[in-house]
Amino acid sequence: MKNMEKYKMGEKVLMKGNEALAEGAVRAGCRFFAGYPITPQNEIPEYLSWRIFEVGGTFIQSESEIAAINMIFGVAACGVRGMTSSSGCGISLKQEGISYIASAELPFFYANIIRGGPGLGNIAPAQSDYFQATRGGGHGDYRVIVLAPNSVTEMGNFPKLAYDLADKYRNPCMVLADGLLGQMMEPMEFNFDWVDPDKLPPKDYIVTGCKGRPRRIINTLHMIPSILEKHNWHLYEKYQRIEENEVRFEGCNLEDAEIVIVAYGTSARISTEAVIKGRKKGIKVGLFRPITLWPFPKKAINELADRVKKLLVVEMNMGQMVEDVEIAVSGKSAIHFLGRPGGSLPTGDEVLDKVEEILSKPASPERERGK
Amino acid sequence: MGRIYKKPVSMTKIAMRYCPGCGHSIAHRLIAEVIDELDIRERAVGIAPVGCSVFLDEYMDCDMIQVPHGRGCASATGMKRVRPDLIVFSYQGDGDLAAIGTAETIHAATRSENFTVIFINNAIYGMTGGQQAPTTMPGQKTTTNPYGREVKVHGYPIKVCEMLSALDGPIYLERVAVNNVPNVLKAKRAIKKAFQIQLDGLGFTLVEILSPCPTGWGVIPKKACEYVDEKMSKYYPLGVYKDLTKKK
Amino acid sequence: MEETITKLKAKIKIIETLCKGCGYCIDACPKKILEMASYSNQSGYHPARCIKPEDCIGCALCYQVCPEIAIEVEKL
Repeated sequence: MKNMEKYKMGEKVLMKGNEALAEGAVRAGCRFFAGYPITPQNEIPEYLSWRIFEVGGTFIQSESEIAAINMIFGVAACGVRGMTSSSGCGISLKQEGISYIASAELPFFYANIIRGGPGLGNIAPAQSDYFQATRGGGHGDYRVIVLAPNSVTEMGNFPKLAYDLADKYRNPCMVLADGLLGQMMEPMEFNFDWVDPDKLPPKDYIVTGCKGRPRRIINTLHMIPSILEKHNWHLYEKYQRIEENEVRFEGCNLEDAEIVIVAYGTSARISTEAVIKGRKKGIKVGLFRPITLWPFPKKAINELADRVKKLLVVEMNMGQMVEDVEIAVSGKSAIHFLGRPGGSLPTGDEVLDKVEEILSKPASPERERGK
Repeated sequence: MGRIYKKPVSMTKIAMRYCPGCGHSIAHRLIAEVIDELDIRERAVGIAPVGCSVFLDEYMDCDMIQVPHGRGCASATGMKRVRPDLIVFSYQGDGDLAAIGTAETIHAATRSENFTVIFINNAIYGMTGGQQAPTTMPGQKTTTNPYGREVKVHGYPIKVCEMLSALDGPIYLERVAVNNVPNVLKAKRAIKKAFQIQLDGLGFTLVEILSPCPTGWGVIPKKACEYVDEKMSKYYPLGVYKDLTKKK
Repeated sequence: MEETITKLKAKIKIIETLCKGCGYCIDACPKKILEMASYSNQSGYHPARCIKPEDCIGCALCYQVCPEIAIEVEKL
């Protein structure tokens, strides 16, 4: 087989977030992409429209997001690593298909490069699809694994993690990024070896034609309530295992922190600046960054709340993850919120100002609403 | 010893649960016979839709997948693109293919995706209780237009074969019926030809089957078959709408 | 006594439990040897039955129109 690898592992390259994600997917064995143009994720299909053919894969610009996700349904049913990507409203259209794929327990990977919403919103970066992503998003009881990168390096490397988790649990797995991470350029490196899709472990649940074995049926219709209930409890048990084993997060300056910022993705990046500036000023501020948004690092945040009595949740929305933090903290610490919805970004100074304001007041058990 | 006519090998032993006189089960059998005759059971993957024929996956003894309403052509596209060696057929009703899944159907056809669509046109939504379909004919009564389809209100039905024949992509489009012996035999020939075209790798094929729905139409099975002759095949003329096999 | 041996042309078997009594086969049979039974099967349908199996010519037209695949025909 000729060398299809574009970049060596560990090689520093300058890339755009969306392109890193696309190259990372190919590197992780993706051989089929279907999608529909929407800003700010267009570099993903544009990149894959030529790149995926270089590695013997297929690209289709579908007639709609609905068609795209159902093409992926077929591809996943055939055991091939497929992907789709979109932004906000496009992901909404894909939810029906994602629900079916989750019920059919097929692995695939998709990315939501979030834009401002609701409605058509705007094309600026936002984190307003947190609820949609972490609650399953479509109809019925199901969950998808949600990875939240905060750098171009992670944009490039999370597709591999996503495919591996998807295969391991037979479940959809998504990358939840935003327009800023998608559009920005910075040096990055791939930290995993080229994946040869032909060498992945065989799957015994896919449709390949029933040569030499009984037929297989991929089905999401369970007419008898007791059978559907059993299926749903089976899914629940799987989601429990994912919650036990796959929580990922990162902490910075937590040891002596008096206040900890909880943020993911771009807002975590901005908050890092606040932490650095704050520490220079002698403020004991730390950062807790969930990497998996589902499963959410509930336990780690709960333990953090045992010793840190003030938490500041920073999000580019009206307050979504803050609700998960509240559940995790269970009233043990005061939770404050700084949100910028509608495609606006908070600045590092804005976050630091908020930190200083919170520290100047006694801890209150009530979460502050609003900005 | 002559020929034995019995349940095709490509069907399971499960008894079909359709209403008496339903055309779905005849169409199922024809597909299974064709799969047997072309010896492609072990390469075949069928797509069951949403609607009455969702139960297709119980009756066909080959790999099957059930996909969301109207999306058969999209899923078939994905499957066939990554596994061209599979023989993929998407079995869809009129609501599935010509209402909610119109876009997927047209675009798969225009891309000339190399799979076979079996399109069941019974002019009604069977499973949900006989509501108006995109193929309900003017004047035809359904549970959502109890006084008959009024075109000023509901517009005209969609003639799928005629519509798709305007595209460059499709290779073979034929409308058949399963309401009497000659039509059943013609339907089988059409299905076989469509599968053969897929085997030859030529591209998109669709066989539209006018199918009796006695329960949905509120008539006895015999009358339903007569209705296909007297009303349906007048509005939806039988025949080949496109056949590019000769040119290729 | 003379014995007339009629050579059977075909064997027809109707699986009555599968039959839903649509009557398609009765209309399709060119020899008119099928009829609706007066009794019901387990599903409550009057199944089709063959009244003169010896007259069956094995054309299998009944098989072609039977939605339930409840008829098997063997041409001898």
